[in-house]
This record gives sequence, structure tokens and C-alpha cells, in this order.
Amino acid sequence: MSERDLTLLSPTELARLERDIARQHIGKFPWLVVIGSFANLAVWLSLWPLVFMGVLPVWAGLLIATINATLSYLASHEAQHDIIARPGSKLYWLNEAVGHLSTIPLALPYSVAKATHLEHHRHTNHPELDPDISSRARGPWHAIWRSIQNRQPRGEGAFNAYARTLIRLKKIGILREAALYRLTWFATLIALAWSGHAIEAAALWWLPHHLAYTYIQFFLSWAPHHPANETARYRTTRSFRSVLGNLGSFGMQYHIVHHLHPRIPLYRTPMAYWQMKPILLARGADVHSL
Amino acid sequence: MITLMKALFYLGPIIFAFGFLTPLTAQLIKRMAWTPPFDLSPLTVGIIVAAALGIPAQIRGRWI
Repeated sequence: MSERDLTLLSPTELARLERDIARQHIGKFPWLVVIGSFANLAVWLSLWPLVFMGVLPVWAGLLIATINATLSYLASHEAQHDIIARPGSKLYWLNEAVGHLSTIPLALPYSVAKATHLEHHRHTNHPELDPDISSRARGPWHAIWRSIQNRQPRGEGAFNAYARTLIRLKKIGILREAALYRLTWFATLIALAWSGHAIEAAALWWLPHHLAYTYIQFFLSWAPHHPANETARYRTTRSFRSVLGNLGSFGMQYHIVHHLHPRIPLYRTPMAYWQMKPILLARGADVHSL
Repeated sequence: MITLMKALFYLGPIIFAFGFLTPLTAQLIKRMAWTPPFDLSPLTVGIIVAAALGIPAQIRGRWI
């Protein structure tokens, strides 16, 4: 169907067409994400003895651990949307296991990620209600700077924004869990440091945490929502062309599909995007870059 | 428990500086086989670095 034909359709007819496409992609089990999440965690865990024993140089450990930490968010993200299994289903434990275990290299508590990310979906780009709004920036370099600034002890965004969101949602249990998780992480780093392994702890966990966060906030938060000043359903996100390609940008070039239909697995969003593109254009979405 | 956690978070920069940056600096000095001036030990340099970074971070609420 051409774009011209679609502009003649009513919003209800467009919505039906869009839903039909989405249904073709929802419910597919993301094997690669499940296997990949455990493999990613296993690789990261294996770095510790390898670097401690000198089998792997510290710089190589830092590089691999940063890739592990960055990748870890993707699997957790699928779990946050219950894409691996729905609540109440037989495999829901797997969904939650992937969610909780995958983000250990990133030192991010899954319960916090899930609660705040779903809130981001509910209030995308809202200046007060979107927990990720602090990643809004003028351009790519400003986005990187904002990401670093947001993570400062009394910064505007990141964990401080998540804490404010959890308080507003009255999810105090999750907030306590997050605080305990973070304190345990710091205590582990400090214990490793005073037992003579500060360099290894910095290279395998502390620096990867920060490098991965910057990368994730750039590609998952800033780039797909830029300029992040609209809250209408078809205007909160956009498609964009990344110099690192779709793989290098973690599949976020097609993030608009994810916001419209969060239960479509990441690996199927490009396909769904190309099928939906005429509908998205008819809806006034910013999908001109791809 | 909550009061303790709040205090730990409030003092986060100082705790992180002396708890992590001190031994990290000392171990980096040793790894690089660098001899600090004025006969300072690597740990003393680590404490100085931690204080120089951690105290301003504690006051300003930001490392950079």
C-alpha cells in the first residue's frame, strides 16, 4: 500500500493495520537474547580469574567487560517488557532470571530498571514524569556530557531521577532494594581494592559501569528521543541513521517501533519498522532518516 | 537501617574516595614502578589524591 493510499485512511483503520503488523512479531521467543544474556554474564565472570591470574591483560579485561556491561542492558530490557515470558506463564521465572542476572556487569538493579523504564514509556518526554528526561541534550557531545553530569552524586538524572520516580510512585520497597544493591556494589569494590585488587575492580566493574552507562544513555535514551520535546504518541521517538549502524547502536535506529509496540522483540523491530513505515508517515512520525 | 543508608549515600563521595581511590592510586603507582617524591609512600599519595578529589566532590556534589 502506498503512502498516498494510507493518508486517505481513518485513524482507526491505520491503527488496525499497525496492530496487524505488530501481531506478526509479538510472541516470538527471543532465543538469542536468553542464551546471549547468560553467555554474556559467563564471559564477564570468567574475566575475573583470567585477569587476576594474569592470563588476560587488564586493558583487554576492561575492553571486554565494557562490552559485557553494555550488552547486558539489552537482555534486561527485553525482560523489563516481559518479552521472554508473560507474568503467570510457565517460563516467567526465566524472564525474571534474565532480567536480574543480566545486569550484574552493569551494576543495575533489575527492579529499578523495570519500574522506571515502564514509567518512561508511560510519560515519554514529559518534563516532570519521564525518569529519563535528563538525557535530553542539544547534540551528541552535549548528550555525552549530560550523561556524565547526570551520574554525579547530586546530579539531576540517572539514579537520583530513578529514586525520585520511585518515591513518587510510592515504590519504597524497590527504592530500598536499589539502595542496598548500590551499597553492596560499592562495598564489594572497596573490599576488592583493599585486598590488593583495586586495578582489577576498576577495570572489570567500575569503569565498565560508567562507560556502558554513557553508551546506553546515548543510544537508548538520547538518540531515539531527540529532540525529546513532544509527548504525542507518534512524536515521542524517531528513527535515525547511526554512523555505527543498527548493530553498533543496539538496534535503536528503529526505536519508534519499540515505543509503539513494546512487546515486539528487539531483533524483529527493523522488520516491523519497514512494514509499518507508510503507516508511521501517515501518522506524522519522524521517520525520514531511514 | 534507613538512617544509616541515607548517611552512607550522603557521604558517598568521601567514602568512595578513601575507600576505593586511595588503594587504586597506591596500586597504580606500584604497578607503574613509580617512585613518589619527598619519600612519600604510594598509600600516602593515594590518601592525598583521594582527599584532593573526594573532599571537593563531597562539598560540590559532583566529581566533575
